[in-house]
Amino acid sequence: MLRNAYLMAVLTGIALLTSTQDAYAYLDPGTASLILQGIIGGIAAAAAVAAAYWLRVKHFFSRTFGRGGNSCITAAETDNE
Amino acid sequence: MTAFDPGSFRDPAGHVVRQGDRVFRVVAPERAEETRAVLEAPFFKRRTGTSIVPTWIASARDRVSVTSGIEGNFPLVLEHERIEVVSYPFEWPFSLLKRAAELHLEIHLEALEDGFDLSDSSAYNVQFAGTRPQFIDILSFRRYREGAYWAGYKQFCEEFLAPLLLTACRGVPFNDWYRGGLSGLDLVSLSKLLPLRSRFSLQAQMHVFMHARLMRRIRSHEGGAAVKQGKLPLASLKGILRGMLSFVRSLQPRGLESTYWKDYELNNSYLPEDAERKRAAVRAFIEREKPDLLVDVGCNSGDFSELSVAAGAGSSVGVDFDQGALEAAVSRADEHGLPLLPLYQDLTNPSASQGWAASERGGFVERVRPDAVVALAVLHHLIIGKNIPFFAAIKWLVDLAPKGLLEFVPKSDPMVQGMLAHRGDIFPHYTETNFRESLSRLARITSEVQSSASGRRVFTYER
Repeated sequence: MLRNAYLMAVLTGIALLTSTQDAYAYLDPGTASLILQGIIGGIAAAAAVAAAYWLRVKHFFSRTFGRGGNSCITAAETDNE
Repeated sequence: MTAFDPGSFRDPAGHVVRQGDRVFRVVAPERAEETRAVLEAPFFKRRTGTSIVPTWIASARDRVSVTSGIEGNFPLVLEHERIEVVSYPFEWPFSLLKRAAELHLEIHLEALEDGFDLSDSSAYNVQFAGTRPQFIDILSFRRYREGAYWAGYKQFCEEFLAPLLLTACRGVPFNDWYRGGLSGLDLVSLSKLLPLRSRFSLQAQMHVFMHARLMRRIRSHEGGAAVKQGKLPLASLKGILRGMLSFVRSLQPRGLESTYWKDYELNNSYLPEDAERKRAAVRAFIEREKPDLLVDVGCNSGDFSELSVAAGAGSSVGVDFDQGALEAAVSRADEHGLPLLPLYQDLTNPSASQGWAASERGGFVERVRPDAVVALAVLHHLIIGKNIPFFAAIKWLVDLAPKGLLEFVPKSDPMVQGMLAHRGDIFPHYTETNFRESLSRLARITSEVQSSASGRRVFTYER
């Protein structure tokens, strides 16, 4: 099961790699590291979008029901984690 | 005399060149315009002097002088403020490596805001002024190109994240392992070492376990190793960097809450008047010699470095092998704003010249050239604790600096008695008379004073 999950992840990563782009030449970033960034980059971007929406929802509720300016969650704190 | 720095050869875009005490960086033609733009970037200007080493374009005269002695065409020459003490990641205590990792990620994120990227993630691109990290490799900054991946991701994981995780998850100090391979820890090896519970961390799962698994898979399918590299959205790149930053920030060293030497400072058997005698001797020595750079050998939590700085020393490098003591020294330096850099060193196996051609990373003794050395209660650990020959141990300390203060602890002292409790006394030469005689063969003894009721004595020398 776990092997299949990893295989899926690799395939997803490769599927994200569509057009060719030169890397900075002097350091080899490593194939595995590039594929992995394809995978976790999607997660990271999705988390950032989710965090932005979550902030909007919070702002909406704090404006509608709460005492204004009470939100202490910053975009940086909610990003990706 | 012009010479390429032996550690600056990997990136053909430029090299560090030393001329006496001055440090230049020659830049290849294809990178000159981009490098000028970096110098003008808001993030660069904002951080210069605090967390990026002060850098400016060298005068035409200096450019001619620097480039005339070397091969190649370098239309741009930069000058850097000199880093007083060059140190390496395998010498840093946990909290300094963590600090360097955070700085690296913060600068990368800020550079992206201004349209610049980092082409690598080498931990050697960070140096310390006291406990404050400074980024030094200006040529690592490149213009951001749409869709670029984090080129130094693997390098960051190996040179920063892996050693931090070894200590944070396992309580194993990373320093000796790091020094062994020089470029951090290999992720496949680390994935076999981390405890089961670390697999439940999403970040550890991604950056270590999944990373290592992919590496193993790709290594075993050589033909499929080359993939077409697509574009990584900027939001994804920033997301990965931010995720890594919050992960690194969350890491804490394990097993350093209580270590022998850290506790020793609180629970030693010194009488208060003995401690004061020792402090007075150190204060008098520093006030007399006013060294720009001091090396405090066996610094413990940096108590005597702090006293030395207050007495007029310019800055201090504290070396110790006890990780808990080094962490305490970092806290002391932070709290009191001291120019103190605590570094891990095992005196019987100090950092050696190693890396490519055995000269890429210089040894501690050749690299750190202090004006004075202070070594309190160190010699008996070398001579009796580690069987270093009597004269050789004294000579090694005296060779560190032209002036110094050494403490001799007699055999009758409880500390030495404890060290001899389970072994034969094979040290007939270990006497105060022989110490004085040996030291005077190596240097001129400038003062001598008893520093404890048990008969410890502090000697100062000048060679």
